[in-house]
Amino acid sequence: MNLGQAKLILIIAFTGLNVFLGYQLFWPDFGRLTEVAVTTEQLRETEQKMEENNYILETQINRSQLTSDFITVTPSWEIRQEFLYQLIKSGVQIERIEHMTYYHADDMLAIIHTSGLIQLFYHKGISLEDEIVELDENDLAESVKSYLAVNNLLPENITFDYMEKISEGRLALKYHQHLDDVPIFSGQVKVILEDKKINAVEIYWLDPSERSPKREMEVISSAEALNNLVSELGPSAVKRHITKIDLGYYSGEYDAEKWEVPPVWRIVFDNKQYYYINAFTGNLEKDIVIPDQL
Amino acid sequence: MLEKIKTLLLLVLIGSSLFLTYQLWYGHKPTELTVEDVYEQVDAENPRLIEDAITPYRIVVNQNDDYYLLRQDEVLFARYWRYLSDLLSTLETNYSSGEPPELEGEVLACLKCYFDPLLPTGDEMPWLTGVSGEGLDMLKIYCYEDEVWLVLNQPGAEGTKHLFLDQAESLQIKNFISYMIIDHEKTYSLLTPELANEKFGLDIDVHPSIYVPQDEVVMTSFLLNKEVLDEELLLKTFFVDYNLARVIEERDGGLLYTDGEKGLRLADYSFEYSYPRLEEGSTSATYEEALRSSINLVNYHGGWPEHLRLENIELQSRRGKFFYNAEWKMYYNGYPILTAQSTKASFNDLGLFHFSRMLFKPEDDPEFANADSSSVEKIYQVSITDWTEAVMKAIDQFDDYLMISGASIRLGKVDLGYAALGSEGLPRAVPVWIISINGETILLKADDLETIRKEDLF
Repeated sequence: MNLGQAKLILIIAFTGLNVFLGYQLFWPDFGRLTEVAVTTEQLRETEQKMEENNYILETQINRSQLTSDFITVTPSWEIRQEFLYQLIKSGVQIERIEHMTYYHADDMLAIIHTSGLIQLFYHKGISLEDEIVELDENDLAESVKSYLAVNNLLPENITFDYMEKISEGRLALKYHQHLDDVPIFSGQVKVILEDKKINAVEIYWLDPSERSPKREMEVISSAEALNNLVSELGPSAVKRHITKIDLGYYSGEYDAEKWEVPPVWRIVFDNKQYYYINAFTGNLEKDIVIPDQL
Repeated sequence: MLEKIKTLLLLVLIGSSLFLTYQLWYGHKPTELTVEDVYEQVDAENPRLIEDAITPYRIVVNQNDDYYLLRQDEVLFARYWRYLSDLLSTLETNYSSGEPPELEGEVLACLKCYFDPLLPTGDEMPWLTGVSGEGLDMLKIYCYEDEVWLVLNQPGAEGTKHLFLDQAESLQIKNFISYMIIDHEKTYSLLTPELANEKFGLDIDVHPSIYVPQDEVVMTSFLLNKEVLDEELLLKTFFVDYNLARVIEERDGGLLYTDGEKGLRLADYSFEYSYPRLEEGSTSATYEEALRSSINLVNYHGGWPEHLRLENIELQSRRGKFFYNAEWKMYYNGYPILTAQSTKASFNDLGLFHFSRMLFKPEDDPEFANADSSSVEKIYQVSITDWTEAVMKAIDQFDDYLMISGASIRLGKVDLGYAALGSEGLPRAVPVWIISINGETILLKADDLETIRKEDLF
């Protein structure tokens, strides 16, 4: 046997060894070399725990280990200024009550809160330019966006989120803000449609002023977020389906100068109920804990 | 050429097999371990000893039928209390208990010590280890001829206890009280219903004992300084990992830190913490255990400044859950400084669920006064209006109520103190009369008797 043959035998042997090792490593957790936050075993356990509590996981979950940071936001003034300018130009009556300013026009009422929230109520409703034949949510979403754009009410970085049927003939369309393709669930535009007319618009938009890369940390896994939510909610009397889980930013609405928004796992039940689990602490985001005013 | 390729391929395969073997052997670090270990030790100040945490709210000394009132934060008070505290801690072996002497009703106690909160006694306590029970609310020392005896007042079923000291101890106490020079101190009168009737021509009940100044009193009004705390250290004491807490900057400049479950608000002259989830717990701690917990809590979360006095600690209940409330007040030269919100802690067996702390430093030395307050007169003297005028003004405020209800007047407090009021954006301590009538507290500026509403306090 010469050296060449020996090398060939060794190549075959090491190739076989590598295949064996690769099989052991990649199966059943393919992608183990790229660190995972949720193993298949953990996923199975999570699904089992949820089923025991009457929750059915009906969506894919992100199993990779992710990192995130806080973003600092301030209420957006841009839309408000533009909108106020239009209102005042049209000659509205202005009334101030506590933290709100009311703008009365013939066909509408606008309320601007000091927190930055803008609410518009159209007395007779606004017909959309596009003919609405069927309630296709994407068409509707686009049509509503066009209306918002024409009326200087369309913020930048807006993404259609979902449509919700409130009652017969009454729909809510929700859009949320995004930053570098990551949703900011707190920044949102909500449009209420009644009998295919825009009935009300609510805009709460934020200006992300800074990020905290120094505080970039690993977030909890989506499985842990699900487990925490189930522990918090307890067993369900009826079957509930988890239809979407995604990572974004969310915090309550504050009447503050600026604040940090943490990353959250948003968990959607039956396409209509939304829960936010803080992706750093694992706590369910409820109303903020604010000590009594001093 | 082919041989070279084979060699290279073989080397690659050997390398990759080593790497894969390593991965398989050691596996991946579990996610939990990749997160940086964030638990750090927090070096807060050492907690006060229990003997330094509880002090009488006043000591009344009777020398030659003149009353002298000694209070927290005064030099003489500290001397008296140190002496009495030592006495009570070493009394175990040299006293005998017995029935009250017949002449007790005829002679005046030469010293009275009032406690609120109660002075804890019994096992594992620094004072009167042989005396069990809830604690003392008053200690009286009677000195008659060669005899000295102590009367211990315990609220509740146990009533009073009489302790008779041995000769050596009696002599020592008598010497201490007789030779402690308090001549330069102001003298006070005991306000009895008879004296009140004489002064106001009204039928007035007085309870508990009130001492009013006989001499002219002069106090100072001064700016309150901000107590600066190490913010990072404070955050660490409330949040296990404060990196997980987010910050909300409020419009008034206050900062709110929260992790979604608990919140800490830092304002200019105060901070406040809330952890509502823990309110679901209850407590089974005794008064002594609660006392120790409150000492630890205030020391850990921002420290226990020199002029802060523990004013009250009591068991309370809400929705069937028991918890303790502890309250502290700042003192200056023996007088309390009243603020909009006091330093207060609420806790149960689960832990601290509410804490507020004022950040004032009562210093009237101009060097300590705020640097940016040059346009404001930092310190000035205030002549105090006589107590009779103050009480009359307070009674006038109650006139309508008293006329309608037909209730008699019960005076619960006539005392001097300071009210923290905003002055050009800065808190200022202003001398006030604190008068309690039928359970209602009235604050009157001590110079012109102008009424101060609670919402005016800083």
